[in-house]
Amino acid sequence: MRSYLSRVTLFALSTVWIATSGAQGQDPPGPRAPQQAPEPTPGETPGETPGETPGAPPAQVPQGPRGVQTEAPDGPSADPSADPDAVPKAPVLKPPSLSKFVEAEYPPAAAEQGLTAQVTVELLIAPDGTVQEAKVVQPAGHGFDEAALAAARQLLFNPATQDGAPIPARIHFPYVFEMVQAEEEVPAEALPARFEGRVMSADGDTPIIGAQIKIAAIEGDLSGQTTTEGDGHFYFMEVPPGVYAVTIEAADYEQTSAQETLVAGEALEAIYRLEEDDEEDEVGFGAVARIPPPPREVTRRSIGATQLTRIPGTRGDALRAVELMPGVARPPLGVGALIVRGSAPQDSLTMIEGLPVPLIYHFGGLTSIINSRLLDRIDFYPGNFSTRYGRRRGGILEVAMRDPKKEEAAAILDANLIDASFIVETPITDGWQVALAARRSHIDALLEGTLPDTVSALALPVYYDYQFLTTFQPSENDRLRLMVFGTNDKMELLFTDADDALTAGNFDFDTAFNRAQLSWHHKSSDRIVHDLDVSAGNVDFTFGAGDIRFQLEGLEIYGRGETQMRLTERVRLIAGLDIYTIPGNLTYNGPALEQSTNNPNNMPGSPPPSNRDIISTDSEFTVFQPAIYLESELDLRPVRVVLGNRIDYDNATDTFASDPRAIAHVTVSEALKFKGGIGMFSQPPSFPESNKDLGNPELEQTRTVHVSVGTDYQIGDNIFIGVDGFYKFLSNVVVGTEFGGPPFFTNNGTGRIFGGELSARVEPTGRFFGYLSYTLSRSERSVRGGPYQVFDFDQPHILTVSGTYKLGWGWEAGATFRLVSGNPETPVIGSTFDTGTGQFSPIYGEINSLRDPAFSSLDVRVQRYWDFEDWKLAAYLDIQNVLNNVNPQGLVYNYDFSDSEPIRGLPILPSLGIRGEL
Amino acid sequence: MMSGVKWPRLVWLCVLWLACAGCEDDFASVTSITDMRILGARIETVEDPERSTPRPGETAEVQLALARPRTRSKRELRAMFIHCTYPERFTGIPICQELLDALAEDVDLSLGRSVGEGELIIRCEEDRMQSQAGVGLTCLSDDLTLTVPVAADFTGRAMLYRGVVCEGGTPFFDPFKRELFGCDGGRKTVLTHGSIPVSVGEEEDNRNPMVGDVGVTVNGRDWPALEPEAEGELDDIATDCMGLAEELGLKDLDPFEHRIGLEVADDAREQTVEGPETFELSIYATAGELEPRFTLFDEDAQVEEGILAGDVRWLNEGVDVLNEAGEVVDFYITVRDQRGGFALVRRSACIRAGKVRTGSAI
Repeated sequence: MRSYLSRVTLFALSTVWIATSGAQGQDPPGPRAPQQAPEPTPGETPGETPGETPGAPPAQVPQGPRGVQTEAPDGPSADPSADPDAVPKAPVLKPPSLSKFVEAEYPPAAAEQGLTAQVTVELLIAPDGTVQEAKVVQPAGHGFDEAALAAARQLLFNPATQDGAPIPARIHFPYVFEMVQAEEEVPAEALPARFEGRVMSADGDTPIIGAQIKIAAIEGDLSGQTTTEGDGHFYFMEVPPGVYAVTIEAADYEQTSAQETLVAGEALEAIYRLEEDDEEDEVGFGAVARIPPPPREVTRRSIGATQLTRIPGTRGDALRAVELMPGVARPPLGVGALIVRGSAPQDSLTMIEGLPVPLIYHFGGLTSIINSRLLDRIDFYPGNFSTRYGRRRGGILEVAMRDPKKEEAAAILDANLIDASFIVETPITDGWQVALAARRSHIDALLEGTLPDTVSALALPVYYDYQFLTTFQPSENDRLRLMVFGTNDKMELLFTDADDALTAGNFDFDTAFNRAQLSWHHKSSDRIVHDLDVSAGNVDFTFGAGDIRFQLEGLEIYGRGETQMRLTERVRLIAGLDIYTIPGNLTYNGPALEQSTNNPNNMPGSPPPSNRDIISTDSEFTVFQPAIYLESELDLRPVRVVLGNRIDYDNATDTFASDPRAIAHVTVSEALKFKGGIGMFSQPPSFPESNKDLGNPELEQTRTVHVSVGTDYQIGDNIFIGVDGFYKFLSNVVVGTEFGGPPFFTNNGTGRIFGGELSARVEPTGRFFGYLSYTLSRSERSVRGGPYQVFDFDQPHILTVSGTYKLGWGWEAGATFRLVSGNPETPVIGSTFDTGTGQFSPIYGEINSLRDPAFSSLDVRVQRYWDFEDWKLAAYLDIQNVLNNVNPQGLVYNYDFSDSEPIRGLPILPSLGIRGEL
Repeated sequence: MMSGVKWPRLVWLCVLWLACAGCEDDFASVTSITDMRILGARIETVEDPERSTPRPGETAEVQLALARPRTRSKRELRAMFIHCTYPERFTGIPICQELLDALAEDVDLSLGRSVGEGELIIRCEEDRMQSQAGVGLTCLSDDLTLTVPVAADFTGRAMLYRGVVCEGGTPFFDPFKRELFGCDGGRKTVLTHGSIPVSVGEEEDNRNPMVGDVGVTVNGRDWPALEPEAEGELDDIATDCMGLAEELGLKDLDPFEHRIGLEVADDAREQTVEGPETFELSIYATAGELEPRFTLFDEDAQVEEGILAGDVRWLNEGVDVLNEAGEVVDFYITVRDQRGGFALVRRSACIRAGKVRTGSAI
């Protein structure tokens, strides 16, 4: 059965000031019609009205008050010819803007006949914003005129102003009446999206009234604008789905912009916070809060860039803020690792723009390899993630880069005690922008002359990184992004008094990778969207300590193709193929490899490597790991279910793994949601473990079942609370053989991880934003059928509290406090002397039966902004461990392991820097 | 004046200072012999004593090289050892685990205990086994020389040995202890292990470094070894050694810092396919500390007039606690060729007590 609904579609709610004659510079002040067209909005050409897309089917074209025109009501003439001596000063005129829209009733008779119409009414808007007069200037008959008039008289406007004073204004306002199919028969792709939200002052919880919101489709010419109402709200009721550039402007506030993706049939809510003109802030770096697209995972935690660079204890490094998230454990000192829900660091993956990168931090966690001010956001999936992600059984961290600025050229210079960096970015043409960033550390200059006599520096530690980013839109349906980025860390020291003959002498370290990454987004039809991401680049990791040498060189290639198809309004299919391959060469000379975790020989304080056999290999290899995945998203409101499966192949072990996954979200109310998921997650053995020369190529992929449930609750506009519980069971875990003999590694290990997470965050509605997270968990492993042991990275209690407050006058201060269980330790109960090497080897007690004292640290950050005419300046002081807590990180032993002392953690570490922005 | 110093550098130095505060440990130096220590083991093939690599069918003797401070009363040394075949890949410890497990018969150490604790302890009582399963273990005393026969059909890479040396106690083996070996009573327990490379042809033979290959100087002057007779006489002397220079040739040294030179003739190193073998010289003393604690002569070592030379500083901090009438301080230098060859060189000096003058010129 076919049924029809009447509707009045509305796209751009706001009015557009359109002059009728004269040049602005010649207009004398006075309440008369301006006579020059305003600057076209994005996607609009002079003379055209926003929202019109020639050639586009009507159902997809934004409808509504297109071409709203205004003219001054009757009043004193301001013809310059009447007063030749008048000073040609342009008045500051602001058009009226709609603050309350009233839908017109569709005439029943016309609806029955399937009639459509457009009625244009002329409105006289009083200084108080009410409609003083309304008359039809473009009638349509059939009851449409009356319906339009009735509705138009109820409209409310923000009045037009001249030099800030409300004035009456006359405008033309079109009502469009059209017939649409009933919802259940509307093709899914034809459903519009809804975009709404609020604009607030960043300095306080104050709604900004009259702020202009402009949106312009990235693909196509669609554009529109509206203004905020009395409570700061704005609405775009029905907008064609797509990616839009959003610009928010308000008097006395900094302009800000963002990019939003509107999904067919779904609503996107956003809160934009504007900085006052007299205070600098990172307003140019994107939206502060957003409602993400429909989830394909149980839990996603995101932090926007505006917060990431302001969190105390991170030195402004966005990726370090990940440690604040629930489920993320504190990495050991000097290990830049992501430890997610009791998994090993190598079980989690970091991706930049959808493709994995081999490392994310310089020098084991010092700072991240991507300039934080190029980031748009960080999405973190602690478990039960989409089939889009594979080859990992822990968590996924996905880093999204922002687009270069479209409006004007900009530059940022930043220098602190550790490094200096710059970003320059500029639009080249309409739709083509570029950005370039680079950074170099100056630790080498600062360290020079500070090394002890027993250490000679052949090359002091130094790191570089660079990023080049350009976006280009060759057509309405295509969007290209090219990124070229890379990093290099290196150092070479000569130790003249090492404890071990094998590692005495040189210590050198050189890690480098360069990457070119091309992303192509293509919309082949309204139902089908394709994404193709390809990256290629070299990796070169070299490590040497005395006679120990490890070098891996290769060409890392990664590709992903994903197609999203909306079959019906409620069903969406996602199919993807991703391939990872790296042909390369491995050179290794060093101790025989052992089980990587729960093996005290591989932990700090392990025996000198000279007590182990030395093995050598120099071989070429090719890792080839293709995967396919298919995911269906079923919208059974209020339940949303995602079912998927992923199949991975690993050539090193010649094995396939099939990972079925399911998640469900139940929306109880706008504020309350429940969620849950179960799925299988496979991970190939690490490269050395399955290497024919170093490990066992007969290994199988490890398997992990993730189960998680949780709830999200929103209090007010800006407080979000989440509770999650999770359980993971690991099978086929790779462990060493009992005495280290052939085949060296087997899949004879299991693991279990369970816990709960509580998170709360306060989004920056006013002067404050902050986070609280607490994780209670237990992670255990069983080796070769033995009893369960505490896992190396088990941290039962992780509490993090962080808050940042804008003090005003350009000052901002914040603090982060962390209280975390100490890491497990394996006691040394004795030692045995190796007569061949002259070294002692420890004899360990029960694995991980001890625990370091709890870690606690208070970090503070103070920042001051100055806003000059053409540039901005910020100075910041970020102090980690301001209380200088010792925080023991394990034990160091004497030569025969008969005596020990705690290893102290990071001491008080200030980081002082300045940043200039042009 | 601070004009030449950049403030970031000052801040950085403060950070480094804070970071390194407490970095220095309070451990006794690894070079200080304050108790009974095993310094190494010399392996000699019975059929060719200069050779450290027995061949299949031959027998190896492993002589443990020990050091003890003279000022402590000497107690009887006893030891218990086991030997076995080297596994295919050795990752540290345990070694000879399979054999030890076999000894313990039904005991599966990884899964639990099938017999009661204490029921399978094997002891060395008066140089013989005292247990119901006393096979495969060897008890030693006095010279601590372990005899290891290599089977004629041996095809592995090396033999392994593992055991315990007890100063004044009774060695035992207990499969229920993670350490497996221990001492009942006594003053000092040292667990030890090592390997005996087995050669299957002349090209794999290795000869031990000779004591005479190593020359020692102190402050640039020769420091020869004592005559064997003098060594014997000195064994019973710990203090009151001043004036023995003439009688025994014992060198008198003041308690100040000294430079000890180590010299090895380049041709003392055997040639391997990769070049000359590497000599690793480690040095220990019963008083004071030594830096660096080892000297490496590898294929890149500088050879001058056929001699490889290295310097070691003897730091005399704490020597003022020595006996006022002088105290005999022993210096031990171990030589390893990193192919199983080993030699132990000893020098002794009489050190006068006195106020420490650290950093004094040599």
